[in-house]
Amino acid sequence: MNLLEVKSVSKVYGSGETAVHALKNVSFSVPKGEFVAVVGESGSGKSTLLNMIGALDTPTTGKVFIDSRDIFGMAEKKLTVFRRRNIGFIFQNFNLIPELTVEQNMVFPVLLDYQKPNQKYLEELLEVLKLRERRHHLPGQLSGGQQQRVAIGRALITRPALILADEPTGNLDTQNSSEVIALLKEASRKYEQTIVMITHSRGIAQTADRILEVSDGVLTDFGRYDTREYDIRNHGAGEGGLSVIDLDAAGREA
Amino acid sequence: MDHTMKSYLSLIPISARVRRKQSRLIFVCIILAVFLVTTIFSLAEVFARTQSAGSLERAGNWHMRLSGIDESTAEQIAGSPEVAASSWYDVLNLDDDLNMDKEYYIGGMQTALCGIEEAFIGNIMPYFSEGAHLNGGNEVILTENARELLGVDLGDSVTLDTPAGDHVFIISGFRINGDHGQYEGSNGGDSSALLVGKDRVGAFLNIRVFREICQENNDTGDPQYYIQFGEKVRLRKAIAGLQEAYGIPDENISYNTILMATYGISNNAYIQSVFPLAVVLFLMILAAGVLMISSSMNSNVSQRMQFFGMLRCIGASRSQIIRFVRLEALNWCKTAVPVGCALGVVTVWIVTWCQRNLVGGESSNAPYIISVIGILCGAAVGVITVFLAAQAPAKRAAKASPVSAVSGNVDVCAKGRYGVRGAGRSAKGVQGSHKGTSSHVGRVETALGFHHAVGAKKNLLLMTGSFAISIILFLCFSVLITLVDCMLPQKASAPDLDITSVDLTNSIDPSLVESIEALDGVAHAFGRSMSNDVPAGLIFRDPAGSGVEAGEVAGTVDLISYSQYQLELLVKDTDLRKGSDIRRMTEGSSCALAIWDRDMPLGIGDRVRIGEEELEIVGLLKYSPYSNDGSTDGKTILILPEETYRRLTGETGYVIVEAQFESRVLEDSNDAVNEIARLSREYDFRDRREEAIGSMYLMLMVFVYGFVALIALIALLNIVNSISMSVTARINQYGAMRAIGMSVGQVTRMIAAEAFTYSAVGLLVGCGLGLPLSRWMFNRLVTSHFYYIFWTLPVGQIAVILVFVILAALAAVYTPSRRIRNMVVTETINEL
Repeated sequence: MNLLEVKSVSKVYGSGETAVHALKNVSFSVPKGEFVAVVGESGSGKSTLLNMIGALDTPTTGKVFIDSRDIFGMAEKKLTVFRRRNIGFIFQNFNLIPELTVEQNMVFPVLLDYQKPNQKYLEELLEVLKLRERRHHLPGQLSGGQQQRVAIGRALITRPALILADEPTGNLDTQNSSEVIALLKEASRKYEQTIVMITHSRGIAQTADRILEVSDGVLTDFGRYDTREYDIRNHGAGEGGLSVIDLDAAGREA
Repeated sequence: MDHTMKSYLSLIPISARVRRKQSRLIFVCIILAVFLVTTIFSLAEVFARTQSAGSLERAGNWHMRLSGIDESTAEQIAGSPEVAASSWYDVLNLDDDLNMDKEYYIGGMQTALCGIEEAFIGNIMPYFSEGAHLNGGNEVILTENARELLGVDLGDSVTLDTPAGDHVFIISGFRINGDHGQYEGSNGGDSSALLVGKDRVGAFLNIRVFREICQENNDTGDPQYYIQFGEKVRLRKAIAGLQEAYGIPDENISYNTILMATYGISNNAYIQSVFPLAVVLFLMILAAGVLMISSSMNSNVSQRMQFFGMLRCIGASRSQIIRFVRLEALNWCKTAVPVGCALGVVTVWIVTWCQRNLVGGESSNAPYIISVIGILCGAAVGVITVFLAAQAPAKRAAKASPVSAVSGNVDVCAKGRYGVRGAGRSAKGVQGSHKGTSSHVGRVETALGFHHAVGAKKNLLLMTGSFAISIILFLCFSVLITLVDCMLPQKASAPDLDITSVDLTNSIDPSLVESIEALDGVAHAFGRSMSNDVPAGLIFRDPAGSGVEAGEVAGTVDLISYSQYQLELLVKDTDLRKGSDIRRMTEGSSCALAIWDRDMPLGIGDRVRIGEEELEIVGLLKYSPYSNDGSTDGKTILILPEETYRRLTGETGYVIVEAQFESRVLEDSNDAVNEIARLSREYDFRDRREEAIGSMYLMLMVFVYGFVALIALIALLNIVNSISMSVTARINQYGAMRAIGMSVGQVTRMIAAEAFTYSAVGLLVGCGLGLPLSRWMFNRLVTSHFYYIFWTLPVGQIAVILVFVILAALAAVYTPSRRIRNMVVTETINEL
């Protein structure tokens, strides 16, 4: 069953001569539990695509279905609640609330939903994210990788069906990048979450179950990485590989 | 730190602790607004309490006075539960001008009669000696001067001769004199205290006896009914109830003006016209507070758009964000309101202390209070202002696009684009208009700054709005200064005491002036002679200016003599109209000053013939110091040098002698006052030292100037705050500009251009709206009552505002530009 379905989405900014076609008739679907990487040049439209999927921006034409629900058919209020419960966001610049501790940052979305955080689940997440020791630290006292792990925890806390990550490793060094990606993968397996991740890095993209490329607003589905088609077509054979990071079958660092 | 959060709103106090520095200015704004209102209301309460205490002392403890009601109505009113005390009051043989022309005598002295009820004594009016009563009907209470005049005391019997026969009474008490100047009525100047002259007697009788005597003599008085309501009675309601129940028309009701005005009840037209103005001023302060806090919060919010975007991303709804921002604002109130209230209370105490110890006079009774009304109003204003002020920023925050969290600072970028594009346009314009010069290169930053200011319309509106409202408040409050000056003129000529002849004739021996002046502690003594209705011929200059005189018009003039010292005081007090030449008023010269009035025909250069002598008018007084409203009542009054006056009239005596003391401390001049009182025993003597101190004037001035100073302070803070916030919001952009080669000087100029744009627009709007409003207030408050004073363009105040705004703008530029100077360029651009 497809968790996410994007149907003929187009986005045009401006009009007339100055019109910019950020997305051109993009369609694809992602089954539940899949980890998808979206790659593309700067300005190719990949962020626009992510904004559409996250219901942060509305398409000019086309529809987006999450869990078979047309998200743009919902009223603003309903959409907010839907987003709150079903979509988790992870940002390049972490966007943590600097005044709050690790734990407080993580439970914040639950509080926005007027729920009580599930303490057991929180402990579990802290454990998985290796943040137990740091739970009472402020973001400023953490390394970049740790901060992004907090952000992941915040995205996971509501057990959303879909996690959208915009360059989650953009501000991290190699070591931290692999850790974060490993965690994302682990989470998606463990909690059966669908992840759509934007990235610049081919290495990172290769760890995904599937790669989509956006170029000039047009989407190409390269399917699963193991076909190696993406690399061969775009960069010649032998350039890709798993040299950047090395992950085992479970997505953990080797 | 508490690690458990119960609600997303728990972020507010946590965040507030950390972001204290960023929100410091908003904090200060709230404190100021609360402080201002608490102080005003507390001071108003102190003022009202002092006044109503003074009013109780002077005018008695009554609320309203009815006329034209019959006895049965009075009886019913007296029985109603709201009324604590009531009494009839009627007077015979003493008219409004204190004339006594009827044949009522006690011991050969003309006597004014007054009928009252028991409640009037002590309960309603304080001016009776202890134990005074009129229980029996054969008692009488006499004015205190009767002791000496008739040689009588308590328990003695006196006979009242009336045209219809004699009545014998036993003296049960006296109406005591109290301090001079007391017992003046608080209602249009009439007094209930039988203010008879020195050689006359006033007698208070039981109203029943009084009526019998009236009947016997076929005389009628003008019965009035005094009412004092109970302490917890709601006055408005009680009064309306009485009016309705007994069909009493408004014109038959008078109020104890000052006492009732403190409750907001008055049928005095002047006080009524003041209430709406007070409301307008209060609303303007509210508006200033709202604008001020709103603009600070707006800047604060715009700096955090990405944060709000992130909140939206992780699931906050718009209404949650609105609630968040509102509560965040109200959270500041939690500390700012108590601090503002406390500051207000302390300030009021300081002012009270000053009044008690430095000002003296009536205000030395000012109580130290913690004004509940003041604190409640301050707190309410704080919370309401903040709540109102938070609306716009909250909505703005709610509009934060979640996209901004994903892609960085979309909002700021959009603004930046606008600014740069706009600036580009204008820079082009500058280039166009300065073709061939190289100066335009230096103007790009100015154009940028200008467009930063005008680019964001809402921000511009808020900024200029708060500038403008401060200016408007300043202009309007300045009117109050003029008003206080008019109501309580502080003149160099104000005497510390005066002595008048009993019958208002020139019968005071001039040697008295010399004897007084010779006393220790007396700085000046001077007298004035007066002749009324002297036949004169008025000779006008030809209006066409041909030098031919238009002929003589017969009329009468009043003449007043002034010593050289008094003439000098006229100059000191700037009482002379333009074109007056006081130097020509030498002793014995044929020159005179006339008192200007709307209908006064004489002008400078005209002449007046009195007998054989012609006097030239060499100057005009702005208004008549001898009437309350400054008018001459249609008379032509001339002021002459003493010698000239004597030559013309042949009179050497004075009608009034005034003295001024060297020291303003009462104790220093007590000896002299006693000696003068002894010297002037045969005249009316009035100690006016307390009036001369002008305690009321000082009190009001402290109040008004304090207010104006606070407004100025708020304006300053507001300007500095707004610009500093605006710079903070753009700090990244400035960093980028520094990175691409803009010098610190250029950035500073850019900020300066922005600051001066706000100031200039604010100044224009503020003056544009403030001047007509201040003119309206001036006409309503001042000119309508002191018609010789007109509104003129307040050039001085505008200059003050101008200097102030420029200084404020400079101060506002200083801090941010210092920050930019110390800015690490890479840090800010990395954040872009």
